[in-house]
Amino acid sequence: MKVRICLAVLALTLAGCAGQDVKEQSKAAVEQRDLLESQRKAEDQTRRAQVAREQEELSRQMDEAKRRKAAEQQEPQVKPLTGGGMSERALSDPMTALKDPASPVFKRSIYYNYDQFDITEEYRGLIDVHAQFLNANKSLKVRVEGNCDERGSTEYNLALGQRRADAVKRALAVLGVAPNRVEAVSFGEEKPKATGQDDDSYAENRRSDIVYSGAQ
Amino acid sequence: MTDSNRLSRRRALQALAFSGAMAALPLARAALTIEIVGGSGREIPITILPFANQERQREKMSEIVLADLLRSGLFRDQTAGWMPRYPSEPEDIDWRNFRNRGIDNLVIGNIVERSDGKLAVRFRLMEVGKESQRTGFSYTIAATQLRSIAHHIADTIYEALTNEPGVFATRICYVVKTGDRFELQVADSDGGNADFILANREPIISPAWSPDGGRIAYVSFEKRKSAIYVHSLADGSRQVLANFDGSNSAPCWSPDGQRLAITLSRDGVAQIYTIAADGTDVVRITNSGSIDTEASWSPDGRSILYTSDRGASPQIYRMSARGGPSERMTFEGNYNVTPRWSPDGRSFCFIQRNGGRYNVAIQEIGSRDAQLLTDGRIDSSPTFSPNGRMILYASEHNRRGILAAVSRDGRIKQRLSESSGSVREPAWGPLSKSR
Repeated sequence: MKVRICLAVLALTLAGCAGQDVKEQSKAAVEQRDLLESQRKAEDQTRRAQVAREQEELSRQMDEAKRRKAAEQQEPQVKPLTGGGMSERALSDPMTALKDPASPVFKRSIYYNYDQFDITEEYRGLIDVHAQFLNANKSLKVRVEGNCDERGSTEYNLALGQRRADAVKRALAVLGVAPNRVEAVSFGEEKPKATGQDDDSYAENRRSDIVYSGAQ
Repeated sequence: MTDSNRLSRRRALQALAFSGAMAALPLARAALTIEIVGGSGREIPITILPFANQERQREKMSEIVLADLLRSGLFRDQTAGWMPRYPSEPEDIDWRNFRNRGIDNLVIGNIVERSDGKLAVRFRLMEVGKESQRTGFSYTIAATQLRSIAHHIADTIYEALTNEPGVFATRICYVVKTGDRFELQVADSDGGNADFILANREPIISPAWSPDGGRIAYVSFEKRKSAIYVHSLADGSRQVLANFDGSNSAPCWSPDGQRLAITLSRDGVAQIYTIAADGTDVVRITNSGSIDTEASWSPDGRSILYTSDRGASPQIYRMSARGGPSERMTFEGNYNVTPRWSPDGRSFCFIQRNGGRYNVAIQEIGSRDAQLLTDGRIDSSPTFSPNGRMILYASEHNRRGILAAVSRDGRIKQRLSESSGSVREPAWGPLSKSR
């Protein structure tokens, strides 16, 4: 729960709500919870593919959680919204947030149905999170990398991957992220993340990744 | 040697050293091995006698010629059996002996090592029934050219007996992926003399031969995004043809070699443009809100076939090479992509989804009926031989990418496999200039 509150505070900060009254804050917090709900659904969807990576991250996560707890205990609990726990860290060092599995910006992949490029409702929340993060960290730039499964034409898939990446770029632009901060590229079917020839692998490869410069 | 050539060579070597796999070099040059898995059922019998003195050379010429002809699926090896002495000149031939064995198409030849180190090679195709020569040539060559002259001899025999040009002396290119190393390789059409012209840690796709065979355009992701390059085979120099925002891909040369049709996404969704071969004068020729890509320029230069998903599913369309209205060409199924004109301009091959499979199909221009030619799980990137008889394509075998070929009537099938790595993205070069 503590983490939740921290995240809500982060979202408020990112949204530039500092200094607003308490009522406004709680409304924003509710919205943020909704955001978290849809974000959590997105996570469930990709959970299977992420398991291996998450296991690797586990020990680091625990260290991070300990460190965060220590930091929170040192910092005053009541502060203007520009301060406070994780939000301050996210602002001063966005790379830390990007590498933090508990951070909403840790999830950076959008998945698609076969031969489709539209962003489904499921991933709207994820796009929102990254738009807010980019709006709060004006120095950051991203590449959106569109990918396809191996079936069909190399060239058609390259064009399809570009459509997937471009759709993410457009969605970010609608939410205020300047197009010159987002480079949309396609790898088509050339860089499959999953190498199997089954539906799960194909689903994993129909994907756009939001790649922050300097973050993996 | 130009700077860019030096650069690409050095990069290739660095990539090798970096991967810690210097041993990969000989593997990378390993020939494709060819296996014929079908036949025409009405093969022409041919008897090729050992060329006099050929055993002194590294490779036996008569065997290369025979292997070429057999590989086409149109010939049958009619062995003459052992003879105390094989004739190498018409006056040595005991006609009755060959007639008694039922032999009609007889090839004889000889190799003479000249004092300057060159080889004088002579061959004749004899018609036993008429006790006369159908065709014959002599060549003076360096020893290193032995293989390619053997291919020329095979082409000459093929043309004399089938009345269509042979393609044994042509070249193919393809991409070999080994681990995370990508090589664009060029080889003889039988997979011999394979060597890479570019090695990358990033993907290479869509190679396309210039009509004169001197240059290859391709898409490389070496800048972490797709860009089109034109690579000159003679000196290894290369230039960026197109590197606009977004995707730059699907190069296809015009028949006169002056321009290329390409796909760009710089103005939104992928559309087809033409561009001068020096990278200037970009002209947009499709205007749809859908994916338009994979242009194939007709042999007469007037039309372009391409893939578009404007009708909800990807289908093949035809338009003027200057743009304008398009006509839908494919109607069977909901996934028809990668059109390629046949060299005679009368038909096109493409990839059709066939249930859960993706296979090579062929269709006459003016017909709506497609004929499926292959049955692999995922076949892709079809490319016609320059005589239009065979279609080379990418397939898979034992979960590795391989090249395979099928005759346009579907009767002859060949499988080519490399000793290492996964092979993909083939493109068959034009007829050789020396014809």
